[in-house]
Amino acid sequence: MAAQTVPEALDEIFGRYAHETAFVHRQPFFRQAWSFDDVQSRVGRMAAFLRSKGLSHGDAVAICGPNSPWWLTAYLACASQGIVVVPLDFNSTPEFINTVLAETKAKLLVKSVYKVYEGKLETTLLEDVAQLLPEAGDWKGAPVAPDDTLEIVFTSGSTGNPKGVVLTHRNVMNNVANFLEAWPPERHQTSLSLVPLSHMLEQTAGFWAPFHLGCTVVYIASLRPTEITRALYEEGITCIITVPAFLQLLRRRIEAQTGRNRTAKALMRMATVLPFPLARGVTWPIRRKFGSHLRTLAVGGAALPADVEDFWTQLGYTVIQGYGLTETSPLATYSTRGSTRARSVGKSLPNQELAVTETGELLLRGPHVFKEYYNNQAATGQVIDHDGWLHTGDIAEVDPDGFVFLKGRVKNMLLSSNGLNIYPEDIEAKLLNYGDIRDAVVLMDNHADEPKLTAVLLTNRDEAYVRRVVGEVNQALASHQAIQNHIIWPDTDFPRTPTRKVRRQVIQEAVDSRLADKPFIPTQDGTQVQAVLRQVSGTDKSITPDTRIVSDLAIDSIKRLELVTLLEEKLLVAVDETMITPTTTVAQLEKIIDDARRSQSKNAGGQVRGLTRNRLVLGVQSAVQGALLWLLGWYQRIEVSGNALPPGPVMYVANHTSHLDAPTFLRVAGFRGRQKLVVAAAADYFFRGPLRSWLSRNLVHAVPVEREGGVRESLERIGHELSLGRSVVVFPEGSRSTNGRIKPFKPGIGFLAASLQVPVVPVRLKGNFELLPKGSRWPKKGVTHVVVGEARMYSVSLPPDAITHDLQEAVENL
Amino acid sequence: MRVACGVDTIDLTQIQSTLRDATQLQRMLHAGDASRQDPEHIAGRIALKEATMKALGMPPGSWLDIFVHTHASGKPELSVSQPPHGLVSLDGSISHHGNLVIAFVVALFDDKSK
Repeated sequence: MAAQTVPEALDEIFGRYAHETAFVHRQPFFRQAWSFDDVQSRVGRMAAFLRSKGLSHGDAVAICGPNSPWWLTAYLACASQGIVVVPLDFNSTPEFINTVLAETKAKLLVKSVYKVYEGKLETTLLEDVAQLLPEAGDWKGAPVAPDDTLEIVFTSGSTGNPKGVVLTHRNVMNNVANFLEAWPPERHQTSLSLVPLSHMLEQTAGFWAPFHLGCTVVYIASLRPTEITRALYEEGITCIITVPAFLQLLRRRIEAQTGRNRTAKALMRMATVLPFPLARGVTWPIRRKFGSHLRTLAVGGAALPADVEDFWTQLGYTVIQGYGLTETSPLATYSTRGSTRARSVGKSLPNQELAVTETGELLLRGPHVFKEYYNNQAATGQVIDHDGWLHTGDIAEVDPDGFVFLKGRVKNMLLSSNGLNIYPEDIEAKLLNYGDIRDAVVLMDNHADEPKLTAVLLTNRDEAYVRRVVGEVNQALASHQAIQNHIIWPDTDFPRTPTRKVRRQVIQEAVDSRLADKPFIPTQDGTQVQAVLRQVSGTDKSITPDTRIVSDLAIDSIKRLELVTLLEEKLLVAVDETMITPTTTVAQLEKIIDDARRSQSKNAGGQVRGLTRNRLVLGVQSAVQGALLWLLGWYQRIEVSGNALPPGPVMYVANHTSHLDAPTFLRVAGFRGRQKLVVAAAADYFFRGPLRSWLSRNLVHAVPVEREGGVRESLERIGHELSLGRSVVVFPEGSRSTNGRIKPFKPGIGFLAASLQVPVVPVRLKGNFELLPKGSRWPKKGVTHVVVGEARMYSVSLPPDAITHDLQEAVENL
Repeated sequence: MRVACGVDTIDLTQIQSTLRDATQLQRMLHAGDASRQDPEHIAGRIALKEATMKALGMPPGSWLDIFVHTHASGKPELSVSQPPHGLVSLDGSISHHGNLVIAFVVALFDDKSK
């Protein structure tokens, strides 16, 4: 019997895995790996923190932030205490948050500092959790029953008012167990988290499944295309779980790149006719861009268009499709290579009953079916009948082998004028077979006197093209399904839910309510870039290749940022803001985008250079280093007082009086500690010339940092070392003191501590000035006192100057 | 000695979409910049950063190279991660009126230093 509650599951998982990596957290300058032990200890401390806030079983806590291990820490800590989690989408509007908080009577909001929201409720910042947690804490012991509420998930839904889906511990844990039973997992899977954790697909398939298996999930700081590509490469991602819209976007980007390349086109054509293993080999040059390990693409959340599925399968990826609803925690069916049928969403998950009514509606029953809609008995009664069947609202057919084929949503189903059923999804799928139709919604246009079956289309092509497409599609449709009218949607994209589902209702309303005298502005002919520019500038001025972006379209720096962000979202291409100057024209911007596309695929594998990792070199190096430090021991006796050196990675901040300071640290750290310690050293001094660089790098473990300015570069260097699990010694005075007294710290140290969010340990070195002051060549014999202060972390809302000041005081007072 | 100034205005009604887009905020603001959550405050920070970029001639998009913090008196204080050559002093001021936020920054350079 699988675990029925989160505490039971945690018990099992933490008993099985300890040192394996559970999460990788990629922050802007700093990558941190969390072992299962780390997760356990942080969940325990978070649970203690929640208890100290007076929260207990049955209280509600809302979480709103980007995906991160800290999001999950909060989620697991709540769940372990029987506290109800209310996950909120990061992009929720303040009004939506207000409504949900009031309705669920949440007692605490855990949110990201970047979620601008001002409310009365007590708030804890996700970014501050690391430094708020108590030293120790335990998550065990709270009585949690299988039928206790685990979370209330508010579905933004593609239509209507949000409803809170109440999911119990039993619901979610059973869905996870059934999913694992159904999908024989890869042993060494590393997955990349892309779908918001506020969505059940990401929670069950993205988090719980790999967590149960001892696998690693990688969380990235932003969903910028450059960051996604880097993560795929550097982390050796084997699996991504995502929504169809993302695969569609990625496909378009590949096609844009290969469009100019005859070889790539030829390879793709070959792949369509070759058997699987050969096809995989042939498409390698294209797949290479997504890292050499990526194998599995798991898709859910919306229907995957057939041609998108074919595209990725031909490239050599295993595409797993799932179908489900938030109400089923969320998985109900799945299909994988080996157990797949074209256009099917796969077979029923084990331990669930599946049936189809006479009207074609799909019914589900099992332990993963939700308990109720929060405070909405009427709505619950509409979807769960007396026998416990969930009416999914989806129209489906099941073939004799158990494969489920979705036909459409009951509520999307349209009625033709002569009373025949029309499944808009069928027609949309046919339209989407045309590459230039980016998306389509088929609906009844009630604007005219007589309702007309209308296709609303996203495309960059002109009216003539659309007319031809609609004509061709109509050839293949039954007469009652024929498209009578079409509209080119004036925006660059349809309104969508956070999981990128089209908000049909909004489109329906827009179509119905449009004024007769003000028809939709037909999309002017032009490129997608021009469409994005039109959206950002909010102007209907005509945009030509010669239009100057900044002056002609009044794009100020905030809008410039919006433009760059939109280009990333819509075209998956990272454009450097600084490239857009006051004189840049539209044509030049398109060139910049083109270049960015090309360089992205070239530089994807870039690596930052660190210490050497060759074993032989390392051996010789540590022997020479050991010998030198031993020799130094003849001159220098070290006395350490204060705290013990904490396990890394941390940043040591020390005063600087002598060239002996760095070796002193290496001696204090001991043989083992030395392997995990580096010293930030002035680039202009210690890295002048190749020999000096080599000695500094290998014998003193120095990493170069700039003394003047260049904070960004230092951040990257030091962040890289910390990411490798090494502690870094920083001397914030910038250079050695000439009189033994501590000089003012450079402000850069405050920036470093504020941006890196690692523990900072102040250290005072006394005696090295007497042994080897600046200017002398040979050390005297004597004693060095090393006083280690207490590790400290700074709140994200503390300004860098204050941190610099605090650290200076801390070192002086030791 | 040389004085350089930069000024920026923001209409609060024009940046609602930016304020709701966490992705964009993350590229403009340090965590500390958003420590107060009212739109007026955040718009003030953004305007101040823009004015600083103008005064110092920084490339567009240098948002995160500028740090703003509020002095106990309520006056904003500015620092930049890579001060341009010769910068001696940097001072900024913000004013709010209705939906308008205006930020003014003055920088003092000593061109003879070094």
